[in-house]
Amino acid sequence: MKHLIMLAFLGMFLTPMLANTAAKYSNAQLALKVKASGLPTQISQMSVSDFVKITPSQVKQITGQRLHFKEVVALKALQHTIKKELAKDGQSGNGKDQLIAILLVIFVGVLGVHRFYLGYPLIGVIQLLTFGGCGIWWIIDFFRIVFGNLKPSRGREYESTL
Amino acid sequence: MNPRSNFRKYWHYVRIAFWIIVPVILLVLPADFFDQGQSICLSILLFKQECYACGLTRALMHLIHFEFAEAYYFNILAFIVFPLLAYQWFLWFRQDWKKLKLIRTS
Repeated sequence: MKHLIMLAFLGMFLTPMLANTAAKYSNAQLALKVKASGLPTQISQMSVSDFVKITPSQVKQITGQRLHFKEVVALKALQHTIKKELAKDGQSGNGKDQLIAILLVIFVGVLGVHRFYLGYPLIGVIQLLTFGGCGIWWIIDFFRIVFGNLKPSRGREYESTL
Repeated sequence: MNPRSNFRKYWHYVRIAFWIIVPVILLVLPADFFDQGQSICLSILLFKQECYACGLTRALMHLIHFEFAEAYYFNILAFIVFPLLAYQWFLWFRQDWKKLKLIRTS
């Protein structure tokens, strides 16, 4: 049990550190991964942002041959891992919008959903169980988000504000 | 026959036509018809995160054209949704068919 708690604590501190050092993808790395997955090498010529969006039909247009089921599975898996690593890296999909936070706090703020969205899961659970801190905390959070006082966790800024 | 039941009869005709024509149109359209374009899923528009239903239209479109690999690529749940949807589609059709028969015999 002790070890488990220690591991959990280590994980909490190590995960953000690892996320910062996650590899950024270059075309050479992408080519290596594509080759390792057994996919046609022509598709590794494109940029990483294009690669994560490419569909099997587009691959067929580029290479002229239809992908087998195994290759489609490999393509999907590779795109999934690259997307995940890019998100970890903070290159995409990490931004929080103030408008979304306001909409969440208005409509489902009683359940603390805005706190989950902004990255405060513990407070989110507390608000969920107490119905937004008996409604008072909810109203405070609403004004804090509107006036930009309550920001995303870990000192991050909103990607777009009102 | 009073005008009210006449209207109901034509209404069921329209519905039956819908149940038949929509699958035919989808089959005639190319399989990658819905592949490109802006998503209208709220989950993507608001949170930039795919939900479990994202890609179902594209997957089903490929599935009815017997492109199983592409269907898997867009959403694996299409393999569960398609038989259920087909059965429900048949039920809707049969329901209207029965009602139309009742109106015509009365």
